[in-house]
Amino acid sequence: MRDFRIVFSVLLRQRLRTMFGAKAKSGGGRIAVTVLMIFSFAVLEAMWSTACFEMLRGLDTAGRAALGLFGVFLASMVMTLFFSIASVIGTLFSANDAELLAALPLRSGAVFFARFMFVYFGELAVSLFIALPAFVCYMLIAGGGVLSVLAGVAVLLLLPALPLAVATVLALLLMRSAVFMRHRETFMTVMGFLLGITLSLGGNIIGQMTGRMGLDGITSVMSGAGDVLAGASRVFPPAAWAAEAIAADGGTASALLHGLLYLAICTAALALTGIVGSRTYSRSVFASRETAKRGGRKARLSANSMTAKNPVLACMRRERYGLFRSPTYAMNCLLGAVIFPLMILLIPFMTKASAGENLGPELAGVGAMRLFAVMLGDVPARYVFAGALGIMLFATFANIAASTAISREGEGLERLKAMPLRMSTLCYGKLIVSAAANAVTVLLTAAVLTVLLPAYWVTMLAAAFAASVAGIGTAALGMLVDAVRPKLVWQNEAEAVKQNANGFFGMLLNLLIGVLVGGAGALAAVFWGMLPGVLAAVLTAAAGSAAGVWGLGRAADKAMI
Amino acid sequence: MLRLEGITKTYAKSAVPAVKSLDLHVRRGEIFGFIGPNGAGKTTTIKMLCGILRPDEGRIEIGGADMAKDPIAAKRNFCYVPDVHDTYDRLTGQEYMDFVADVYGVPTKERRERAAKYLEMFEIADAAGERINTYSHGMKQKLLIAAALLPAPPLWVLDEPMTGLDPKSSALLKDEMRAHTAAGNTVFFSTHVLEVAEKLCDRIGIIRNGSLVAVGTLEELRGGKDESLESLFLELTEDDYA
Repeated sequence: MRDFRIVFSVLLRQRLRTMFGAKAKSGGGRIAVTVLMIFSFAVLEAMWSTACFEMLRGLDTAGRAALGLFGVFLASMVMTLFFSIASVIGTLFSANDAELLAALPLRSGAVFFARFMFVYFGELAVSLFIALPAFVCYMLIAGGGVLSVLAGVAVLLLLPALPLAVATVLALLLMRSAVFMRHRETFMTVMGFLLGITLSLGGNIIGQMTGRMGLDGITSVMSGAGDVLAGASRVFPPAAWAAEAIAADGGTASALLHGLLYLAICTAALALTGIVGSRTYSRSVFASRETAKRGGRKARLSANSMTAKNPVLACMRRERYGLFRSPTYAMNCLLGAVIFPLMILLIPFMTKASAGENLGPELAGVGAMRLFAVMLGDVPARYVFAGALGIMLFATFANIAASTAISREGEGLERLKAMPLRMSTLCYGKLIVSAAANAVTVLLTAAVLTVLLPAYWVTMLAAAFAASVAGIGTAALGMLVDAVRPKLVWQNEAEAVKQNANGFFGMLLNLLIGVLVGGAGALAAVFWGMLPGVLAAVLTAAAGSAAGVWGLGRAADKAMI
Repeated sequence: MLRLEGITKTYAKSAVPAVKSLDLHVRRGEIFGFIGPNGAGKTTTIKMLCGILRPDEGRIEIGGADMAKDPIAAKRNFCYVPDVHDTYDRLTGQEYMDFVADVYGVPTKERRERAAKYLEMFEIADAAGERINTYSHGMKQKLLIAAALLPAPPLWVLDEPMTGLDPKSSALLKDEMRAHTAAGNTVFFSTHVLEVAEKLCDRIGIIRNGSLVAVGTLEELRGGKDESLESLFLELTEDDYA
């Protein structure tokens, strides 16, 4: 416990000082950024709280507000499961202080658990952002005594425990197996990608099953029979136990039983994580740091290697290596490019599963893959173009590769500043990679939409072209934020990308391009036809991107030295 | 080759300047040693002359180019080896050298010849295809030096370059520094190893509390007395060690 306390307190102090003691351009600038962040989060939380309130009030009329609570808890757990995998790998395995701590007389299990708890509190903040409004709304609508409130606090504090334990054990096993690989980081990156996709799809399948269960349950509740939570608990029991511990009013035997079940499974998960972690952590963490066997890969200084290149291309290549070879960066920055189109592909299956026969008799026999095509019928292509353009633009908004491009350089940025290299050149090199990531997302999204709506393949192609051009601008704007206020002091790679508000600010700025391009394209398409719509979208995208690239270059050369 | 005129730097939240009105002229063809106690302002000075930090006051000129007005031209005239080794550790050694060569615009033929020369010289050619995060401390230092020397700029700025080097590599680096200056170029380096400065440098500058307290050849610094650089250094920085 002593070792844990020492390590945890030093990690916490380091993080807090990085967060609140970082150099700012000016006091006014720092205050403005803080105010903007608080305002943005407050607006998001207010919107989410309103949605929770409406949903719970609706369910409460059927006497089943607890179902809403269960859904929110489940959503929070699924999000933790999916998003924490990159945090776990980054914080536990890519920390700058790993060697320092390893050399000190500290138990490896204590170091592991201190880092784990560090990730835990980060994920807890996200969980509370999602689940706390639902809990408060539930208490306002359905009521409950002091014991319910106490049960609720306990449940909320333990919400990330189970998914984080699963993600951590998987990450530990992945890292442990990487010890045996020669190309460890490539192996970890590929496996991390597969793990991320699997967890994401797994979460959606749980959601899909719950959706079906929920509707059946509601139907049965309406007809006065069955218990929704009893049904839901068959899909993912812990989330239902958590909801039941609060819903059944903390004082009852049922609430106590469900609360104890939830507590037991969380404790078991944490204990298992502790056992696996203390046994495998120290070996796993140094797997990628071991000195490689020499002699096998002597530099090839002839033929294709070491040819002179333009500095922009040199920076582009360096950025590509940096992104793809770090499991943390690859997962945080590039996984979304694959996941987003996959999510779209799942939508018809989820719609079929959750809405079932309610879609209408004419759609009852239609397969999921043809569902949207049949539903849309012969809608004019210009409307489809407007919708597809919006979806594709949305796919490019959250480009973490762009909005953390400079932060990821860390303190090593100083070395680049000492070279005869314009910061705009560096940014343009990085921009090629980020814009390419956007283009990949757009093209994959277009491919998925084409599969779902094959008759509109030309429309999808046109929307993809416009969105790809706009993707250069969204990447440039995201990077511009990071060029102006990079987060260069961090202790591990996950911190560089996940605890970086620039991703959020980049998204806000990208809304501008989205509104401009999407608005121009959609309005022109709807009012004047397909061709004017495409032209308007492409021209606006090109103009926005040119302005974004120019602004990025200017900002980089002015702000980064 | 290198001219610092009245450069001053005060860090934010600090009342005391890290470097105060520092004037220095390093000529072509000389090895200039920059020494001082910890916290004296060596690294701040080096970071300013490399364009990493902006001085609050003063002017820096490298090879005739003003660092404030034309930083790219000024930076083309020097290479920099930092005192920390946390480099781009996902790249292989060869990729890192290639990147540096691209930034300095070294043509293909020259970069291959020089890369092969320095990689062989520092005995890291066998590891050049491996990622830098698998390198030992000394190998990283050798790679940083090899990559910095590859563009062959007229001024080398080396911050504690011997740290981590084995004796053979250290001797080779000293030979390279001498050969570089013999060809009319310049080396500016900081060190805490006074014997190295004593034997290698044409001129030495001693910095203390942000000010240059002595500059000159070893003979000039001695002022006719028969004392070692170590004694001289301790005398000049006495208060710091009191």
